[in-house]
Amino acid sequence: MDWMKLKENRSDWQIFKMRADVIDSIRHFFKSEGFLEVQTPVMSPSLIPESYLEVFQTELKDKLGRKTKAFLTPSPEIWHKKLLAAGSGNIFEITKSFRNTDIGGHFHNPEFTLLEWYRTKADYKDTMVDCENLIREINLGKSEINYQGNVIKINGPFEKVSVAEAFERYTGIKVDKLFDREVLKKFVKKKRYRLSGDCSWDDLHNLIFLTEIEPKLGFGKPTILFDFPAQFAPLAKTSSSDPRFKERFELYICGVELADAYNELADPVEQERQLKKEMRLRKKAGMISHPFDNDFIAALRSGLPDCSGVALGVDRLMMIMTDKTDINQVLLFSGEEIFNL
Amino acid sequence: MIKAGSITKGMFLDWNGDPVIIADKEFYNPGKGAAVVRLKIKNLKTGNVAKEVLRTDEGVEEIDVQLKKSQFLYKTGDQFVFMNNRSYEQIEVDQKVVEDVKQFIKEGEEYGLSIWQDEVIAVLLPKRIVFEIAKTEQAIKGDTVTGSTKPATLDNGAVIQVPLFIKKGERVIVSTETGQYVGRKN
Repeated sequence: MDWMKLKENRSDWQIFKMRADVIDSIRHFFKSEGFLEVQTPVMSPSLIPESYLEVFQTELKDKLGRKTKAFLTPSPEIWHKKLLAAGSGNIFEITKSFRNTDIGGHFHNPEFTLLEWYRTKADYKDTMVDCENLIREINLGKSEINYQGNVIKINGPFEKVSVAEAFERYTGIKVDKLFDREVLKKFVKKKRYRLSGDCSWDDLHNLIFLTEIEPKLGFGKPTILFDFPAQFAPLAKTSSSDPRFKERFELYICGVELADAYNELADPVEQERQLKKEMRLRKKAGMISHPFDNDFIAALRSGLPDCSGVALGVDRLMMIMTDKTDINQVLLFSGEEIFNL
Repeated sequence: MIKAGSITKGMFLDWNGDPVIIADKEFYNPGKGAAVVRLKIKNLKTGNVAKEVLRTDEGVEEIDVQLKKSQFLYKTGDQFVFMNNRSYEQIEVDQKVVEDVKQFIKEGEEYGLSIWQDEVIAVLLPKRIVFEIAKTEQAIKGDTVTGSTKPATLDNGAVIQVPLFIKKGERVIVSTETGQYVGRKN
């Protein structure tokens, strides 16, 4: 949102007044649920490695001129897990997170507002309920959200569909065939996707999901898509009903992914193994190198309570609440505007 | 041959032999697997719009499109007549090529004509165009804060929503990206 545009169109201030009210509603919701609001750093000397996102790097100098590399956090998870190990109980934070190269799309800004919360002695079914109640609270008791001509009813339970069910419903591929690369390859070929050369199962799964399934999620009611194939959620707990899947869920409204949640894996050995793998992938891809957060592993080793964590994109939530199709419209100064890109 | 990851909005590509224009592009970083882009592709031969998802390193072919900066002169039958700014030649563009953007076509305004294989396949718009308000109701009490708007007819016949304080004869700036009023022209 350009400030000159705001000056000319005073009515656009409504969007930002609503944003302030939504933040208030979020706080009120978690406080009334007995959560502690925490504030953690956005700058850290080390991070937990994630190969699918790039980071921002800066430098801390002390009075003697000594320099230390510092990195902007892509999410507050590293701090929250340490607090959970320290006995915080239920916590939430509304903070800025930073992901480099996330610019140029309608749903990303390199600096964005993340709501992250963790519920202890709980499981992801409990945080699914949190999502339902939170959306209702933010919508000020109204039973519907209107987005781009679609009416989304939020008073009843949200639609809950597993990845396996979604594949069957939208592509006809049944769960016993879902992990067969040849089956996915055949589907993609029949549908004439633009795909040359060979493609891994992961890539085939993602192409099919993004083409056939994601655009249909969250219409009529919000959709909670749960239980992902294990390779897409290595840090989540394995599903008790089907070990091929892990306990993760995403919240969708009108095809827009608003939140990502896990039943957190507390096994420090497995976590460390997965993270070291991510580190290797980052190195291979020539991404910015950062120290591994060993303190994070120490916190896991000291014992994490059973918990479920959720990360919700507040800017995307605002897009849905104000019926906007571009994230620039709900940010006072978007990355594209201030960096002139 | 370029990679799908480098595709930008407005680019012209060869899609299975047809000329297409990229109407929109979205990127997606899956937690695992290659990064992908979701493209909204308009087929300039058939007029069809389709959504396609590609891996960012998938190869795509750009087509050789010439851009001729031209001024819109007038409409006759179903032809929109433009004049090339450099050569002064008159170029007739079929109505169906202009169909999607005709509300932004205004006499005297400059446009980019995209030419492929000697045919105009698209008309490129400036980001913002200034129009004069030809007709609008006088608002009883202009309220600049509540966000109420009213319809106004522009000097090319198109109708858009404007703030209540806008009067007939005033010049306004319209964004061709959103089709909406963005401000008054001083």
